[in-house]
Amino acid sequence: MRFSHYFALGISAGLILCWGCEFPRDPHGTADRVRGHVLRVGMTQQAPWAVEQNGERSGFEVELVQKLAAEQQAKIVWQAGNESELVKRLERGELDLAIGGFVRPTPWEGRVALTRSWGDAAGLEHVFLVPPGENRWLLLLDRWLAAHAEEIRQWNDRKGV
Amino acid sequence: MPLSPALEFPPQQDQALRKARRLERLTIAYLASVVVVMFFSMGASQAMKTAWMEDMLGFIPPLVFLIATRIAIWPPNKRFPYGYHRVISIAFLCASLALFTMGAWLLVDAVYKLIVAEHPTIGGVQIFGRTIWLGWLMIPALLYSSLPSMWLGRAKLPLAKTMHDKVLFADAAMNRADWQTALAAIAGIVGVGFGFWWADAAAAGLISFSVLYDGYRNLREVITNLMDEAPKKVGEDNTDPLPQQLESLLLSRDWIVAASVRMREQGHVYFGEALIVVAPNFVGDLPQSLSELTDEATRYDWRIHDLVIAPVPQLPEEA
Repeated sequence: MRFSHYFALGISAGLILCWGCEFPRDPHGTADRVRGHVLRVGMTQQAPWAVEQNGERSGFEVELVQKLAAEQQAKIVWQAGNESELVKRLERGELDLAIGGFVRPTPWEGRVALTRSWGDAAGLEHVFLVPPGENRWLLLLDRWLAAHAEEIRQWNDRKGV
Repeated sequence: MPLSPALEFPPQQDQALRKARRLERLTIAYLASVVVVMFFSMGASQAMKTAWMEDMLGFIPPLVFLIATRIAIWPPNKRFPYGYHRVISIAFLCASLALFTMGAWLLVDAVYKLIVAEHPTIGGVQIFGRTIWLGWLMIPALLYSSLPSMWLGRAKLPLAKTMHDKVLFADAAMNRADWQTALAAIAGIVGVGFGFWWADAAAAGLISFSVLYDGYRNLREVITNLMDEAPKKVGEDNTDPLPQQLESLLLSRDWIVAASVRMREQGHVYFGEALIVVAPNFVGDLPQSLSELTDEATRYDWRIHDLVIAPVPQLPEEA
């Protein structure tokens, strides 16, 4: 029992000392790296969510990412690729985010992390793909998507008409 | 065909049995709630998954106990002249084997995740309109899975000793050790929170090691038991002195010059044989004296359940 007491004490002390500091943290510091710097986004063509035509990108998910990047004061570096390429790059930590009409459930779950989902007019649950284990970054995205849930819904309603 | 005595327990043990059955039903209800709570807060944490599996395995000992104690007291019949006591050991064998296999599998799983450097993802969860880190929910869930269980284990332990029930004892020991599982899993999650991806799988490895060790210990216990090892008291490594005490009891009769007793455990109770050498000057009714002596021996301790006293010309050489 003595060991368990020390252990519990240690954990509580650690948590109290860390109160207000960054928790959870990213093993590879994605959230800190993105803020004020560069957001590396992988995109696979999936109209109407993510479309590229003559170097111009459009679509709802593209707009969302642009909005996110603006708030994070980050410059977007786009990368193209098919789904499995994007997943592989996410796993290697070469991307911070992947978009392109991904919906839950997806076969990629387990290999990469999924954000909070939002429903479209067709009842599909859309998600972004995120590198696995970058928990601070994932939580930031989840919170950001939750904060913009109402906008997303209204946007969907307009498109649905 | 001579049948074994039907009665399993004297009143004190019977009372313990009833109390233990109540506690085991309570354990099952509690575990069911734990499994649900853990499932919904588990996320992608390997340590949580391992702790959850351990809780699932925790159903086996109470279920085995509830079923086996019901069957073990069935009276002996012509088909099963020694009664049904051993059902406990057989059930215990199955439970330990499950524990051992699961422990091995979980250990391999955790080591694999460490080798391929899988980064556990623990994201946000929506609660009352706020998005909080799922890790914060895992910690109270784990505490819920361990603190009441420690209390249950502590309540079961003395009952297991009273009833000489090794399934109940193993269950109580596992319950009592649950805090280690919970603390290891919490450490893993907090570690992940600090950005150490390996903390989770390392914690899972530690937990699976404890599952494996539990399984190994129980397996060894029950196999030696089924091999008719000399009886041991619940939770003790030394052989039970009861056969020696019985020898002394027999030798205290002036008409017995030599005695040798061997016993084996059959679930809660002991079966055995006593060889005696009757004094050459013995006069009287030998069958009647033997019958009285047998009654007295089984009254000496409730665990002496079925004893055969056989007069022999001389004792075989002791090994």
